[in-house]
Amino acid sequence: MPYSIYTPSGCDVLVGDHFCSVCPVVEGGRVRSVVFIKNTVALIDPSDPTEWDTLIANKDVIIIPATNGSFDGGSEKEGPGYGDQATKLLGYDFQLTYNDPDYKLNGPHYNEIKRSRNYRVAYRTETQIHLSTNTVSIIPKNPVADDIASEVTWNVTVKWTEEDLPVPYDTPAGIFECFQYN
Amino acid sequence: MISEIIDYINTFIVIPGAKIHGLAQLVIRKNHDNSEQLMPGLIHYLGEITYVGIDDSFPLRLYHINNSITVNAVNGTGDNRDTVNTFNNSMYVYYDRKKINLMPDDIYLYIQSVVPQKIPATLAAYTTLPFKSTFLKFTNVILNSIQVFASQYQGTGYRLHPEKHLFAINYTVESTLKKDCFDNPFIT
Repeated sequence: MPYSIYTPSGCDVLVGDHFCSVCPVVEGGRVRSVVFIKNTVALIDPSDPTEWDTLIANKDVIIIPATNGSFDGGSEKEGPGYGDQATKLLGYDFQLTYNDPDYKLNGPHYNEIKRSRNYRVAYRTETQIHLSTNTVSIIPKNPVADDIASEVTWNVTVKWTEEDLPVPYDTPAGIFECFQYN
Repeated sequence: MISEIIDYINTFIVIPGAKIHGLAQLVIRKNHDNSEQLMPGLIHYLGEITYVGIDDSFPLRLYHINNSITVNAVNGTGDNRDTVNTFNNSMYVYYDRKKINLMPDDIYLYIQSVVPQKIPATLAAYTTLPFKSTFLKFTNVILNSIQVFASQYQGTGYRLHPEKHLFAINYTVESTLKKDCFDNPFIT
């Protein structure tokens, strides 16, 4: 009995449109703010400040409003390909490094958070925030340079592995400000 | 701000009988024959000028002048770059060697040894400075009295006796500005 056959569609059908602009607005660099978000919470719309207000009130996020630092864009992890594809992209190892200038009072905070397995991370560039999906490991250090004009800061490396790249969202207004809990 | 830093520096310079002045400027004096002379003076808020230059009433007289401000941007945090303002200043010292039996370099070394390199963020009795850090650095000393006199007293012929010394100590005050911590000086 003959069987009918079909050719499964490939992954190309899932590739979204590419957008371009005649006059692109440049996104400025530097990791300007960092947020640690508890794994137990979900963000429906990362650009909505109301959602963030709720997270802040419940202490589900830790916001570090003013940092400098960089994000490495990810080191690719490749595995064997199949057919005519030599290798296949499996995902990325990501590393984000930031400096926190609020040094004196944050010793206990960094000693505690470095042990945590409950956070993912978001970082802000000029107008966009980018979020990880997977849990991160947080590696803080507080090095001191031999220079009286230097500044001692918390130098923190955040690492995680994920299949997808962090996606930019418009920064929610008024969230990355310095505040204290009562 | 720089005048407050200079007042703070001056508290460390303790020379018996000396008159230590703060931030002065060169002012023009017009003579009756319409000729003009430059000389250093402290200009008060109401426009009154106190002459701070060569004067034998005191064994030593010292004043400061701010020559210029150099501005550089360095890495900051958040959305800002930090701004480093370098105030290029000079300390002018006039003294009578008959009254202070020291060479100019001895006086300079004394000033260099007592003036702090790091200016604190909060100056007692003055103000909280809006600077992340403030450092003072001596850059050079001009011991040529004729050269220094010409720069401060244009229009006046050189007339210092050999035992009178006038020299200039050039220094910088390098301060990294904390933009968010700067109070609007126009609002009291």
